[in-house]
Amino acid sequence: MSFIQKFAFRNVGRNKRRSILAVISVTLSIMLIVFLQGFVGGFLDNLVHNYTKNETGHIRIATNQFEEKAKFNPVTENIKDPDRILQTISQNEEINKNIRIMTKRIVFGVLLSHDGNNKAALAYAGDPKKEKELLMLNNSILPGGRYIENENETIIGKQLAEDLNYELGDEINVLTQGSDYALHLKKFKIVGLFETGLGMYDEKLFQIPLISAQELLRMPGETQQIIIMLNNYHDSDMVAEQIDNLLMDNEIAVSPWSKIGTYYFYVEMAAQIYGWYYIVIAFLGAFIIANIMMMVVLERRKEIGIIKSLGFSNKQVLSMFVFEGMILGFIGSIIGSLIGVGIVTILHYHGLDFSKMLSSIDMPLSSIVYFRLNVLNIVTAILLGTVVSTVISFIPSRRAEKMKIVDSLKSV
Amino acid sequence: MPLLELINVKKDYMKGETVIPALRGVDLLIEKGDFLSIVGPSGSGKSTLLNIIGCIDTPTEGSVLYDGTDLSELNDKEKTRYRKENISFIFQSFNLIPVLTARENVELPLIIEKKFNKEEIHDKVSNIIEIVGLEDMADRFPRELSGGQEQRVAIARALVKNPLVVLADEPTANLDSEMSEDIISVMQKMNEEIHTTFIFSTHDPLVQKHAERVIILRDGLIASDERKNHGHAD
Ligand SMILES: Nc1ncnc2c1ncn2[C@@H]1O[C@H](COP(=O)(O)OP(=O)(O)O)[C@@H](O)[C@H]1O
Ligand SMILES: [Mg+2]
Repeated sequence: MSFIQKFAFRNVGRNKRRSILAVISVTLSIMLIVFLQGFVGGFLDNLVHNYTKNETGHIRIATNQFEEKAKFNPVTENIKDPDRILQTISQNEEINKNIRIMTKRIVFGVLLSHDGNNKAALAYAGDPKKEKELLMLNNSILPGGRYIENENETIIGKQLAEDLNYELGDEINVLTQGSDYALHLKKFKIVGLFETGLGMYDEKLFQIPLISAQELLRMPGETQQIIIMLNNYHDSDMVAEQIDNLLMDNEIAVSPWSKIGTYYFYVEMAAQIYGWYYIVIAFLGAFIIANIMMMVVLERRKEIGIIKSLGFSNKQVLSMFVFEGMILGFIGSIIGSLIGVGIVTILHYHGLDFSKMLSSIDMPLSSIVYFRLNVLNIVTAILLGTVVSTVISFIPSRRAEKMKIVDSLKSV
Repeated sequence: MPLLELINVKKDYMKGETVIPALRGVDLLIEKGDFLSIVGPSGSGKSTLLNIIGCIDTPTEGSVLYDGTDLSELNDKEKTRYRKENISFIFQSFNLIPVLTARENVELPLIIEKKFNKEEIHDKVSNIIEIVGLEDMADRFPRELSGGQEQRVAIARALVKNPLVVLADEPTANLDSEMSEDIISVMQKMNEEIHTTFIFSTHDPLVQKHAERVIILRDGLIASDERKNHGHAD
């Protein structure tokens, strides 16, 4: 350790109360940063998780023609041999180990009419068992009803049912264009009403079994989409590319969720905006260090004069004070991130219940947010706290550097 | 050639609109090995004169030559080097860095010089600490030392790098007369043994009587410059 560093360390221990104050200010800001990183990360994970499981999956396999018109949910651009694709993928160990759920799904819009009321609705047709882990509407069934167990059964949003004057046990008539472009009709028995609390589902959605949809749409054995959920959504791009290379099919598009629509763009933007918040918070914490260091510099004027008269260069004096600020910032950052990590770890496993706050937000979100625990974030927070404290210490340290020896010696 | 030559050195301070003349034309020759005392009442310009010689203040007019070099022609870096290589300061009080032990304070000038390795530094420091009689106090912090001990450490620190000139601004002002004589005799011993040039200011007649050469400063001018010829007789 160089002499200047030793000197700086001793000076940190000199006025303990003041050093502790400086350290605490950094500790608090870094703690807040680590907490926010965990929360924002967990919140975004939550958003992504809910969005992907309901909408696109982490990876969506469909035909190129479907991808072009995806927002209209066409039922005329289907994958002819989905089972061969599913089999090819599950036989590839490298890819399969990343996959949590893989399932076929058909989504299409229809106009439902009953008792003179018309409502645009969205049919979700999938494997009822697998949709328990995706749409999860089985968790929102109102008392009296049950989840889909057989063909030709449906569960329907509570608001949608009310708007159309449907009741539990009624049959709904679904009239729509099939994959053959002709109109077809099929009846579904309402075995359950669901209420998720989200208008976008409760007012529009009804779920039916895949096999019934294939019948209705005249597309037996075919599917519109294959939805894949991974163990870790951050692998989406990589796994999508692996699958694409594996299938080698020019007709088929394998798209990670990040390449579908604008959702990913907003998620990324949110992450970046918070990145700036963290820097601002770090500066607020370090600002107190700058103030304390300014007091320190003024208090040690005489000493600065003496070491300069001994032959210390201005640069050495500057680096001594900057190093002192760095030490304070580093200690604060370490303590802050330790405490922060402690809190985030607990909330990573137990989650934090936001149901009251989230009830007014019409977005697919789970009310319990599980904080994201990320080593890289913690390292970044420590670096951020230390670097910002060091940088901001230059302000008071410059003052020490610039002091004239005679002037500082005269101040006792 | 004299070690230091001051030619018509003037120094004015500004206090608001008024000019305060601290030195009003000082001419002075200082030889190597001088043991010189600058005496004068408070405000007579003693500190200003020492600061100018030590190159931590600049004269308004006139020049200071060190070994023939005009100090006013040095840039900041060269001034720092001039001080580092040739000059040591001892101040009236608060000389020591409070977070460093006596030994560490004495080490400072050698560490800055970067000329010696750890062992050499240790030997030199131990040696000088012994000369000033503080072997037992070496690991104490300044707050654990008496005023006189602190000044001894300051002397040790000033001497450890074996400078050509030691500038001491009222080094005994905060000490009682016994301690003052003690400090001066340490300085005197160093002057005799290694011929370090000492220039110190004082307004204490007790201290002044030890000096070989006494300069009396009055209102920024040299009122008298006497060289005692006691050297061997005393
Ligand atoms: N920085 C300064 N600004 C204004 N006046 C000063 C300053 N330093 C010294 N003086 C004035 O210069 C004169 C000489 O001061 P100084 O050299 O400190 O005298 P001494 O050390 O003999 O007491 C005094 O009148 C003092 O008030
Ligand atoms: Mg003075």
